[in-house]
Amino acid sequence: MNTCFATSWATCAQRHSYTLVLVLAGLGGACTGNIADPIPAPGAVDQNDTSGASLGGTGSGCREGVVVPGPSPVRRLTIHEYNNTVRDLLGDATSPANAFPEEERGLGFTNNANAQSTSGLLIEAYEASAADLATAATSSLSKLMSCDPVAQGDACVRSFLTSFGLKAYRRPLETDEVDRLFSFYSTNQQAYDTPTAVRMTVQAVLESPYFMYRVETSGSGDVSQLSGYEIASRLSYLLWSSMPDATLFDAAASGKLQTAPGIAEQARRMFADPRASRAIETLFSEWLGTDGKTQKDQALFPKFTPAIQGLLRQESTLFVDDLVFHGGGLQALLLGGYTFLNKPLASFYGVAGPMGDAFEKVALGPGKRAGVLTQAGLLATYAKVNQTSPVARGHFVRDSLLCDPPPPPPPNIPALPPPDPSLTTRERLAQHRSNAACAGCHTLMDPIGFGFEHFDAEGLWRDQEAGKAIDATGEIVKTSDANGTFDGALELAGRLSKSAQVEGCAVKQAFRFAYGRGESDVDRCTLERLGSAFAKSGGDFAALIIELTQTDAFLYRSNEVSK
Amino acid sequence: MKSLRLSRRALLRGAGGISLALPALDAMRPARAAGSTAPKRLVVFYTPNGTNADVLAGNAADFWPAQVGASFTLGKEVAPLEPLRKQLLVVSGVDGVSTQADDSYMNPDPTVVNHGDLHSIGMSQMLTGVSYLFDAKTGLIPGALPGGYAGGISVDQYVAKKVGAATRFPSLEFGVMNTTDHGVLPFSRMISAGPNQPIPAEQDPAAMFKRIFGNGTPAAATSIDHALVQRASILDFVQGDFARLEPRLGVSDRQKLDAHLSQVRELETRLQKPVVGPTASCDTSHGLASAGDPLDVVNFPATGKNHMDLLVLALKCDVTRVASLQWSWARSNIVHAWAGASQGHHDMSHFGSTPQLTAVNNWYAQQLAYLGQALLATPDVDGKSVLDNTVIYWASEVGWAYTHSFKNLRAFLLGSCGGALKTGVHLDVGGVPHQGLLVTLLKAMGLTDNQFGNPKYGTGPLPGVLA
Repeated sequence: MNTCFATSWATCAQRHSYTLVLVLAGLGGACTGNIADPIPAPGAVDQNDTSGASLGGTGSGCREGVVVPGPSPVRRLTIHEYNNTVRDLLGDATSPANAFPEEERGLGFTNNANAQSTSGLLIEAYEASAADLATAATSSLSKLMSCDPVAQGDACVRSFLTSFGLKAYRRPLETDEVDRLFSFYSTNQQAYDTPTAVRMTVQAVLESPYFMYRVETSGSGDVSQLSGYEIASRLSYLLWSSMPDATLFDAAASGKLQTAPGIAEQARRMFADPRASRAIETLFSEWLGTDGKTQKDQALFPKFTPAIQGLLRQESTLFVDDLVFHGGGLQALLLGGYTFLNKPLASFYGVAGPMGDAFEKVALGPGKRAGVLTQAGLLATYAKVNQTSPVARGHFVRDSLLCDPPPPPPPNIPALPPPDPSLTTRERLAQHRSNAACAGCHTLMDPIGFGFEHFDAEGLWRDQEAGKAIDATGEIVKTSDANGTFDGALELAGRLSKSAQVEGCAVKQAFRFAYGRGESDVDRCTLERLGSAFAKSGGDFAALIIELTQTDAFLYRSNEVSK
Repeated sequence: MKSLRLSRRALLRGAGGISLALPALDAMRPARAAGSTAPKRLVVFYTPNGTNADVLAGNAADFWPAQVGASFTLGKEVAPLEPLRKQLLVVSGVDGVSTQADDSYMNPDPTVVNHGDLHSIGMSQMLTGVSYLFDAKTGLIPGALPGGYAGGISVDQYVAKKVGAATRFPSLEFGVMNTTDHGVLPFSRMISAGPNQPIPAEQDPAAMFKRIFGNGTPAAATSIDHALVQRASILDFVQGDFARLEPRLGVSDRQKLDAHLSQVRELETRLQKPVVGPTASCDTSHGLASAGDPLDVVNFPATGKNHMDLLVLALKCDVTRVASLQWSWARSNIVHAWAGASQGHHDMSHFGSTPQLTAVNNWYAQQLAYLGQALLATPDVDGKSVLDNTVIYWASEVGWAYTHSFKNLRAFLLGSCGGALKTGVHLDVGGVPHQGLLVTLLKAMGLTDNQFGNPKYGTGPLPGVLA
């Protein structure tokens, strides 16, 4: 076996086998070179070169050139990705996947490959969607096809299958694939007519695993490099939640996606494109739960209508878009002194603001609100129907921002005292800390959640509860570097903003979204690389997203034994 | 029965060489004579958050009858079932022993950081009898809360595999708002085809109606239904794509695509089956009343009613013999305002016994009674009622919700499933793992299996419940 421990995967591949770029720790051998060196085409590689030098090393424990991509499970298009893909492929903006059963989530994300299950219901929905899309797309053949299949016959159809197939399968079709599709077309053309046969062929393509799944089959061996087209799809679904565009296909075809810098260049181009907000919004809303919904007691909170909930979601989306695409990063996420409001939302918050339905960037006054943690949408989501929930809010911070989910509640929970309107929420939760059986876990959550007590169950500011002044003091315990006391949400957010644990957690969440799976021990070096780039950038999400395209997990894939 | 159906359908050869049977017209099929054997059916009827009957406060009789035997009294939570007492079998003493063992506090394992939320554990074990999937080290398959999807096939899907070939749909899953406030999580799903293969329910009754009756509408007996033939051709082609791709994939990717392929195959088979079943007399002309957006909580009761009406129609028309109706999700916190509640269902369950919570659980009992009575009023081909030939298992993921107890799990069964089960009685089996209840359902459905789920938790049906 050809082993290689390169300081760059590109050079390593250059000097060694294209298909065995790979490389597992401890096998010996090394390569050195410039990371920008291109990987040669397979034929140009010296298959017999098994030379190697001594191991590289950075002192971090993550050896240069040791490629460990971690698992690469096949990923099916999510509802969001399917809708975007058919919009980009066919110009169909009907969002047909909204009729699919909603995805089972893993680690909070809808794109977790391990949580993707198949059911009869789903397959029937795929079929119905493909039929509708194909019918709509073939209602005007001249729009879909650049030639006339009736007048120009088989040559036209073959050329259509080649160009449409490339876009739909996100790679060039093999000759026998074109033949097979053409034969399917021909049979149906003879049985019915040309438009029917085109429609049936388009529908078959849309029901194919090559369309529904992001299929990666390049290479062999334990670890392999991806083809340019496979990289193109990884880029487009990471950055746009959709298929590659023409530029990206061209980059794949011309070999520009065979080097890490070439990939980074495309990633930067794509990040600057408005389509990047599709992915960013999904990452943040599923990470933070701002896509959640909640019910409130309408007698207590008549202002909290479904319409307001929709606007609150928009507020968080616009805020995140701004700090990701216009700078601000993690610091702004936690401490940004601005938000986005329109007239109905300003009125909900009870502040002066824009006079129309359009959202505008608004500076927040000092002392009460800053950052996403103080946005009412998030605060209301992590609250009960009729009262706040320091437990749920503390659990959210612990789970989503510190990546340290507390254990679930035990069985046989001792009786809680009946709700007493003369007590504050904080007072009623006192038993969580006085009872040793509860305290073990609740000290991880409640004292963090108390920091939000100035915000009621719908996320609006309050100075009193049950006739008593709000006490929003709290404490973070059992973290690597965020421990300490605070008074109120802004001091809490301030502590979190200085924490490397929070920074590392943001990296993990981005990893989960980008690679469609949970991290594990084998991903340590990928996480280290991402973490160091994110830290160096001062918590800039743009830097993190680009770096996500430079890791082993992105540039390579693991093959399972069965190949 | 089989020969009758075969003799009535025309075998046609469509484009692409696909054999396709035309769906038989209802009119082509004579109604079966009274006295024929009726099919057995299994229905899982799920409502969340267990019972409010507070053992400690002494109001257990709100849910569990104080008396065993035939002279039992139905308490406040379950009183709506009174008109169905002759069809009702109440079994107390069914314990989630294996479920309890999944909990980290009962079964501390130093290598495992977080076990699942108890509702999640209960939901995944309820119909499968096996532990949920969890890998604390790799974070494989967890939801937003710790805890993975179910670790095995659910009892209804197991039955569907055995009896499903007789009908167009092996099973039908109905659901009323099963997505949690944070998306689909492990406690959203109670049905599974196997380990980590959760199956979603259709939440929109109108879509379900279309799914059952709207597609594959019988064509004129003498003409080829081109739409069906074309669908079959396409599905056949797509199966070829899967077959070509799969050898190039690794094991787990191949399993994933194989699950997809087998559903495509099943769909193609489904197209060839009659729209209504072989035993049916079926009138679908009434359709369904509009119930508004099925995902808006204000339409929750109307959506549920539409689902139940459709479920009755599906059983009557013999389009399936296995069905489930899942109301909301485990740990659901929706506000049942129509039942007089102002607080979330799950929140209330932790406040102890409150009249509001009793009212919500009573409302769910009313829904079960509605379904049971509708099936009781539906004549079956053997002259009895459809309910007589059905067993409805009213399930919940926990026993007493207040403590998340897995002791005394809800085990209310409606219908004798063709005389297989005792009814009109409250039996106390005195602490039997819930796998026994799942085996009981298999036996009621006429299967011979003597074990289901984790074999560690015993064999055989619940003692004394089979007639």
